[in-house]
Amino acid sequence: MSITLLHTADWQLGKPFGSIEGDTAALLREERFEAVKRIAALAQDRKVDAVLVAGDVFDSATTPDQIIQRALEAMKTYSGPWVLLPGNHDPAQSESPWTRLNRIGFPKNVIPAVNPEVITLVGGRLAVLPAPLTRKNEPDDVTQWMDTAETTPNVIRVGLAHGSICNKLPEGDATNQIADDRPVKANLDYLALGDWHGTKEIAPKIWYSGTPEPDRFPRNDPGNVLIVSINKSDSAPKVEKIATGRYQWHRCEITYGVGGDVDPISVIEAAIEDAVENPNETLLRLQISGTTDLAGRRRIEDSLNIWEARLRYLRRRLKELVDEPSADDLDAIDKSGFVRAAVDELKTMADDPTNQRQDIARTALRILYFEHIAAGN
Amino acid sequence: MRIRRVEISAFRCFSDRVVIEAIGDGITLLVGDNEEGKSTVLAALQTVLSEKHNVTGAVANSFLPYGSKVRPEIWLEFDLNGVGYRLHKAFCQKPAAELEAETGGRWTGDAAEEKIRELLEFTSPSRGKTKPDHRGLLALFWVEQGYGHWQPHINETAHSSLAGALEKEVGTVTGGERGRTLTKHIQERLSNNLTPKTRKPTGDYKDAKERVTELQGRHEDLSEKLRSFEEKVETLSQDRERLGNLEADDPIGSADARLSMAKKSVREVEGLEHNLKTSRANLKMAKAQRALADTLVSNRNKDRNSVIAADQEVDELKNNQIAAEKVARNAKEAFNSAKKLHDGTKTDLATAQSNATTARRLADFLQHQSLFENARTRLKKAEKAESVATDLTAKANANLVTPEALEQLRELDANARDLNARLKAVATYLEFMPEGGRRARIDGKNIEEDALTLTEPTQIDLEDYGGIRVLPGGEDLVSRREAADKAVHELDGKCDKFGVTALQDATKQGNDRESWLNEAAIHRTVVDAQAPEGLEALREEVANLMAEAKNVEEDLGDTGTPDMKPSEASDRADELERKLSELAAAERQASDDLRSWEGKLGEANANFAVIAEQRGKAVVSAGILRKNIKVSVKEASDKFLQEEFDNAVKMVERTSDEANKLESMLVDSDPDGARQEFNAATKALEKIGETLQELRQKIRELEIELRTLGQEDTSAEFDVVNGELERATVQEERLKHEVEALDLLFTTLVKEEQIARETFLGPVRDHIEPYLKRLFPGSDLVLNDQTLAITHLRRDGLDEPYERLSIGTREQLAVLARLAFADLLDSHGKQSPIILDDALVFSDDRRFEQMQRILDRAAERMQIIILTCHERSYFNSGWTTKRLDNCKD
Repeated sequence: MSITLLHTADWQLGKPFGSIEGDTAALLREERFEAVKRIAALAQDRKVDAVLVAGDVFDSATTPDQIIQRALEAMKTYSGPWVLLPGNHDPAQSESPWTRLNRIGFPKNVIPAVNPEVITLVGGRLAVLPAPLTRKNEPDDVTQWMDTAETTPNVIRVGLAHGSICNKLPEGDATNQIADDRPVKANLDYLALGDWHGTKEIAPKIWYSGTPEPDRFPRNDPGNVLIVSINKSDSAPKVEKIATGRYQWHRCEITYGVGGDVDPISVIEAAIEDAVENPNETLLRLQISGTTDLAGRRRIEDSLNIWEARLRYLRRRLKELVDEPSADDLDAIDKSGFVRAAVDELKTMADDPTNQRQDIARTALRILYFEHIAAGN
Repeated sequence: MRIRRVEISAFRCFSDRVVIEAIGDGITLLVGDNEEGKSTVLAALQTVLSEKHNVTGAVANSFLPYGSKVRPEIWLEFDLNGVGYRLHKAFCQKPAAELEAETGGRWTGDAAEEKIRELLEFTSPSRGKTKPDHRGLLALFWVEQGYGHWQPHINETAHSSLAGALEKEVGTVTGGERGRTLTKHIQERLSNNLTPKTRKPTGDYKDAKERVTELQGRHEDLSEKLRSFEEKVETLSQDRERLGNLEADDPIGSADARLSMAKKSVREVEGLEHNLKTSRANLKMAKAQRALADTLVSNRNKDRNSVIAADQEVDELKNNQIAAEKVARNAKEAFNSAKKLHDGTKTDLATAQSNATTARRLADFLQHQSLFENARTRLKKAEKAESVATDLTAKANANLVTPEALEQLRELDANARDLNARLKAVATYLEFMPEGGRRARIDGKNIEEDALTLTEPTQIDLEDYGGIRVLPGGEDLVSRREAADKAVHELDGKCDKFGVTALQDATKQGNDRESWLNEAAIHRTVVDAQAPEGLEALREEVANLMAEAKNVEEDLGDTGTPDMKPSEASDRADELERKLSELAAAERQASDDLRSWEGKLGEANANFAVIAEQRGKAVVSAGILRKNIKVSVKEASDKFLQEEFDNAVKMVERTSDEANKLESMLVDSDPDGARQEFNAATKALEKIGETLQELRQKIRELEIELRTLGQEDTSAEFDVVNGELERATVQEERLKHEVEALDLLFTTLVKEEQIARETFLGPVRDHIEPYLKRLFPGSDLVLNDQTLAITHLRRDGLDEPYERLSIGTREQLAVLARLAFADLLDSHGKQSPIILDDALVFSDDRRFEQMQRILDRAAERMQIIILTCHERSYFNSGWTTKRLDNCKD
């Protein structure tokens, strides 16, 4: 006899996306509720026994009632149990979204796991052992209690926690640490984790589901939930990753130099086109490094202006792109006369790495060049 | 270009034909008098080269000589770039234009016009007469009369040619108009972000900085708000935990138990205190009863003693009464004796009083009589001395020789002596030494003396000789003699006045007068001694004494006056008065004794009465006391009273023991400690209640506050502001970087443009310099690098604007600039003749001569035609001279 769970985490409902300017931030904020609706529909569709949300349901301790009510509304499609765990974004403090949830009232199938107590579900066959955070940074391993948590024999024990699994993540906080041998010590059949926004298998019984809707330019694998089937007789649960994200967040990093055979614009175009399937639902962080002549710089900026209009959002990172004005660039500004003399002087400064105004001189040359082009010469 | 020949027919003032030919290189001087048409020659040259042949209207008519209908025609032969050309134009009627090149080219009509414009880089006016702007380089080098001191006219063609030549020499150092536009645009962009003078941020840059500041403020506020929220959340958790812990310990219950214990202790203390108070009251009452019993016993004893004492007093008063009666009797007897003695002394005193009075009256009479006699004697002596003194004074006053008069006479006598001595000093002194007893005589009298002093003519008869007349001489003998005589006369007069014969007599009389007066004064001293108060006072005293003596005598009456001295009478009176005094003292003593016995008698009688009364009262009082004792014994016997007292003493002892015991118990129960514990327990209960209440209240308030704060979505707002701040900071940094770049760009462009300008004008300065140093040694001519106009003459470090220089200097500098420009163009293959129509009329002789030398030098490379009416001024120049009148048909 097995049970099936939907493991998700890091909804961060109400996240404002302050770093994204314009209307896109509002769309992204709204989309997180849509993601919850998709999860509810999926849970209903797959007839899972329970949905476990491994922390950070809400984005902050000051989440207003409206967000909480909208969350409950988005969860309605699935009538089975929802176990919601407080994470570091929404710790179960004396005043928190959880106290507000209590005041607002919630359906019986919604179970705020605000205490480290065994929650028995699925007719007593499933024991969920939650490790809620009661503050942003817990110095101790809050899952330790699971080791001694008593449950009826043969019940499936599932741990639910939010934090950094020790020694297994490429990066992570020093706080909210979780021992990687917790499933063994606590005799867990599965440890459902949140906090790491990409989907990641730490061990056969330890998984991060990741956030269901991407919310940053990632270096991992966000935008999924996990369907977990647990059978006591199996050595490990069966875990199925299902994509739920709508907006695609991509990083694109390009490096090139002056005078290469490849046209820099075609490099940029190719890189973006490779990364982007649906421009309208894509947020792109484009970093270009290397050197370019001024004509190339102008073409790059023209190209990026076009992409900026096509994409949902484009974040340019061009600080590492250094101007290297070519002889043609300089001749294009002027071949003779005092303007040329000024160009030569600025070029000398721009080429001198010991000159404190090297960078300013480069920009001055770029301005001069762009002015020249704008004047139609 | 070189002009070789010009022929003018029917043009303006030339109604006839004028031919100027064989115009060579170098300088040609074309001389013409006023109104002879030399300026018309220049006009003809400009017309044939620049005016269209088919021009009509006022322009065409202006070419016609006054009143002429003959068509104006001009022929011009010139060399250009090594090719000879011949140009002919006819205007007004049958206008025509024809250009022939010696190399074979020929153009007519508009083609000729087009060709000539092409050759000379002229431009065509849209209509009407050509202007200097259309005439290319010739507008620069051909100077019309009256315009010599104006700035050289540099039209677009000239500017282009000059700039082209300069750029060929120094390279393309300027950026031209495009460069300047670029610089201006960069400056505008810079000033859009940085104020030019104060270099403060403005425009977008300022907005970006303000935006960052504003967002930083909001960021801090929200950060603080979040921090505060988190602190309150933490505080709420801690307070709830604290309250939970407190409530688990049941501090109220503990405090209640403590308070109950304290209350019990206090109640026990209060019970002891009540008992002690009661016990002390009992003791006090027992003591009062003991005192009462004691008093009753004492009073009974006192009453019995009082009866005994009363009996004793009655006995004692009886004895006293008997003694008092005896004393009164003795006093009566003594009083009677004293009265008798007193009466005797009173009689003796009256007798003695009478005798003494009589003796004193007699003594007084004798005394007054003696005084009267003495006063009368002194009066007689005084009246006599006064009489003598009065007589002597009257005698002295009759004598006129007062000391003042005597002094006057002495002065007059001395004067007369002095004047006589003076007379004798000049008189003739004769000493007689007769022989043989012979005599000398004057006026018949013998001269007895041995010598004579003569002061007047004197006849002396000498015995046996005859007469001799002596005439004393001297200058003022006569006046001296008159003065001496006058003095003697005056002395004699005064002597008569004072009644004396001579000074000696006067002296005697004066002495007598003094003697009388002194004597009178002595007599008056006697008067003063006898009558110190004056004669009248003494007379009155005598009269009074006499009246007093009569009165005393009348008092004595018939008793007569015994024959005794006043002193004896006085001594007798004194003796009788002393005896009287003794009798008076004896009488006062007897009187005092009488009053004393009278008092003692009164006292003895009163004492007897008092004692008798006291005896009566004591007898009554003793009776009453005896009666009272009987009554009280009947009510309470002495034994009963003693028993009552003994019982009271025992009661006091018992209640005292009881009070002491209670007091000891109270001390042992520590009443202060019990009450302090009660107060402390009460306060502790209140404090705990308050603390819990406060904590609960604080928790409630925090809950309410956090519910509100939790709804504000502050985290989201903070996140948004944080994002905005990051973007605003990036924008500010970008603008800062851009502004710095614009600033660097602008300053670099301005600096390079300045360098370029200075470089650009270098060749012009090089060409001007040889000319300038002849005329203005050590100076520089400064041109505008854009317009090439003359801006300053720099002399001794001072820039003098062209417009403020004298007209003469300006026309000289304008010519020099043209020569330099012509040199520059010549070196780049562009030759143009210079025509100056009386362009140096304001120059002084020295400069004029220098200018001729300068023109000489320039003419080595260029053709110069000078039109002038001042032939004499150029006479020594040695230049080729053509007179206009010689050029006419």
